[in-house]
Amino acid sequence: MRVLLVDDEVEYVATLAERLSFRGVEARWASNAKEALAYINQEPFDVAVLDVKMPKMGGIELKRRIEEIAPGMRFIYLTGHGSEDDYKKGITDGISYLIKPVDIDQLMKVINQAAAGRIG
Amino acid sequence: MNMGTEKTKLTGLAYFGKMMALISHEIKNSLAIINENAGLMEDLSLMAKKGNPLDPERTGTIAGRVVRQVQRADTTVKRMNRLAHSVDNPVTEVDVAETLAFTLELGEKAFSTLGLRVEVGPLAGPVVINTNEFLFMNLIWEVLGYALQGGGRVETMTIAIRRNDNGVELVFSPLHAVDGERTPWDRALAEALGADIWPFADTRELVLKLPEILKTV
Repeated sequence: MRVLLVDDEVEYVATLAERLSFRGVEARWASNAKEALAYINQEPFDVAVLDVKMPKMGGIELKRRIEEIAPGMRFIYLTGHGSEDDYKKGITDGISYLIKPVDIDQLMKVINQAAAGRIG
Repeated sequence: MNMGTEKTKLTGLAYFGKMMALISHEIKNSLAIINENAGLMEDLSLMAKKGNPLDPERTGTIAGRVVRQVQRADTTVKRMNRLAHSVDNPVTEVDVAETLAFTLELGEKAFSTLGLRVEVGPLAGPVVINTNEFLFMNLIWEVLGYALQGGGRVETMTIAIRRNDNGVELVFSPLHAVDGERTPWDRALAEALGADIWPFADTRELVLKLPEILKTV
């Protein structure tokens, strides 16, 4: 399974990618939307885990952009402290909305569900 | 000065709430990084039990990340504490440049999310006024909100501090569009501080004037 993690907190996203790799996930990470879109243009991913609040382009807008390039991808939002509006938007979109700090086993479960097409 | 109007209280609460949301977001990020690095140590320990030796360089790097995040969270909590104490005195001596810089630090995440940078212009020496520190910060935030929203695609906003005969002027520029008819900033808040706000379409500036000494009633 190939997962793209996008978060402007580099130490967070890099560590999370490494921990997911120990669990059999092929994880790449990007620290902004531009980098993320460049990866998606180059290689396929099953799931994207997106931070909601990022400089210039947040996860909600990034999801829309990714869907134009890779229509089959599944999504998970992961944020430090999203607003009520962001949360509702995630629910409306049928996307899992996880709050940091997240338990790695819970994240793995949600990634597996997303990859299987049950959510996201 | 009349700080007791309901409008001013509501505006102040909204500002305080917004800053608390930004601060809690920042603390959450630090905790998340600490959490992942503790988890990484756990993963590496489990792998070591299965025969993969633990690299001391690696554990040192992980410990370093945790220390950095504790320092970052400590700085964030100190800012929260200072914001909390800014309501202690109705009128106090306020170093304009220092308080402006602090206000921008508090709101930095909100600006960066919008892809905006706010800079303070060079200043010859300290400018001190007697005012209400919390309301001063609140007013800067309100004016910035107007200046940046009106700006649309402005990426860098500069705030220059100038002395005048009666006190101090903060000059926000450039503004993308100035509508002299619009007064979206909180009049009650400006009045509480004895402040005047002037948008200038020709120079694309917005000037916030504050008295040197705030008169109390």
